[in-house]
Amino acid sequence: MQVSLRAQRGTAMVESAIFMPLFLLILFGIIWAVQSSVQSERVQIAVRYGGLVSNEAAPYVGYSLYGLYLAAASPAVNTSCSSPTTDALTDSGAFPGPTSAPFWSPEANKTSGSCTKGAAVLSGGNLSSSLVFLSTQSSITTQVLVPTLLQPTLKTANQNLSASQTFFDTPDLGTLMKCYSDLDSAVTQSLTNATLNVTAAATPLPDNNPTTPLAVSC
Amino acid sequence: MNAQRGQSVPIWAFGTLSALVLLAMALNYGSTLRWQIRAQNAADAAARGMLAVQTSQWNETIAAVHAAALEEYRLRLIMNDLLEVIQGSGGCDAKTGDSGPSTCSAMYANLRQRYFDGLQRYTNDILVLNRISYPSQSTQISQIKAALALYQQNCGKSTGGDCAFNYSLVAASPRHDSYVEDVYADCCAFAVGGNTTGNPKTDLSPLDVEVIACANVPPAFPSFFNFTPQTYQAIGRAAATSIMGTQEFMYVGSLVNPSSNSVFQGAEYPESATNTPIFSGDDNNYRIDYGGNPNNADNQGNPAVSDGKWGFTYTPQNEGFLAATGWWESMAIKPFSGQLSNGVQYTCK
Repeated sequence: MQVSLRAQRGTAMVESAIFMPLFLLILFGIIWAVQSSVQSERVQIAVRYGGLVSNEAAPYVGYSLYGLYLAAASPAVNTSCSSPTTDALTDSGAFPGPTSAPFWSPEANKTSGSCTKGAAVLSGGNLSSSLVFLSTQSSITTQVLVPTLLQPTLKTANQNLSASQTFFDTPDLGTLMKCYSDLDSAVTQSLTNATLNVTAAATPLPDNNPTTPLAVSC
Repeated sequence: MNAQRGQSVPIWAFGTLSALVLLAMALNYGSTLRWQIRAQNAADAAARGMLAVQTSQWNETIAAVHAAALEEYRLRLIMNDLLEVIQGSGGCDAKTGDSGPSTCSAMYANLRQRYFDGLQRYTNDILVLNRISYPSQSTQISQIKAALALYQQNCGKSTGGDCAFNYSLVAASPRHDSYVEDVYADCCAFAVGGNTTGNPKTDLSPLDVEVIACANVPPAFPSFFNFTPQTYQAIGRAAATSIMGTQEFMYVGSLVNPSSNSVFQGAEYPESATNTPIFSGDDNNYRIDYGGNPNNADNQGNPAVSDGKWGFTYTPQNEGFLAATGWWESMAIKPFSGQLSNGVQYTCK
């Protein structure tokens, strides 16, 4: 009886020693996967927020008579945009909600957002005329710390997470006037009472309704 | 006794396998979350963006209409001035043989030139207006379809969408409201859904559009044992409508433009060769003033020419140019097409 007990002693320990590292590796993998998934989701939400909000930041400047008079004085494509807020990942600033545990936040000072805005001209294909859109490309990158145990397996200490999305919107009046020179010329001349020095009554309107689309050049 | 060795192996094996399945599920769940929001982003961006085909055309139209209306007002007053100098009234020097800028003949020559210029500018405005506003709503919808195809084709660039998705326009239809105005202003507030009833023709009705962005997403982990994870379909579905985001009523001759620190449309002196007053009395009879209705207390204090009581001193008293404009943008609405099926209304890439 003493012999058999001695024979069993340590068996489970050996087996556990074999399986434990693998089990722990998978366990940390689960923790990392959940953390990474939540951060990935939040990165997508942050880029969505940046893209949707950017064009709505100052509607009265972009879409109004004020905007039209500004454009008549100096037509320019709107390139001003708001970077996607990193607050969406850190529960701060514009998102002053309940604070998440640090586990659900990215590494400190590793998050950055950027945006580029400009006119996007679509032409060709089945379009009967070129079209102008206001395009905002919103991007965000951040890093999540990989658990130490997983670092040799994943061969990195940090996992990079990023998202980018292009949002189209209605061009503001500055962009419209810049891109449609015929519109800009006609409107600006009327608003500024431009001197043309024509020597006779105006060229009459054509017999048929003119349907040539306005040329686009931004 | 040796047979008892390895008793814990099945427990560890089961536990490890369970953890492995849990890891796979966590990875898959994370991937699903990420793709779902990415799909919704893609659909939202496309739906709102494509409506610019209509909203942009309407904003261009409003800009040209404003310019034409301004020119029309200017021409009317120039013609009134012409009538006055022809009749030798309004303060000009009608004596034969006199010379100088204050004579009726000199003013007539200047007014004639301003009239020709104004008429040419007005014609230009109308020509541009016709070129902008000819597309019908069916043309707009065709343009939206074509633009969405290019949005797909140009994916990954600033002129395209997210390359991971296939974009389908599943609906585009006019929004039939029972009123003409999107936003109505009364004395105290703005209300969506004004009280001006009417049945605007389809070409003048705002559009509702619905877009689906769809992608077949491979599973986040490979097959193991007999388990083969299924391909996940990430579907974003978004609708948008054209909305008059800004509506304004502006006396352009009264309100000060903060950028120039003077009124939006300053006074003009078409009777003068230099567009400046000829008489010390500020040429009241010939000046073109875009100010507001002087009987409206809200329009007092025109900084250009104010008598300290009413905004304007010229006659007739009710003169003034009021610009009533509305500017269009797109906004998200709830998808409205009901049950859809893959391959019929939309496809996944």
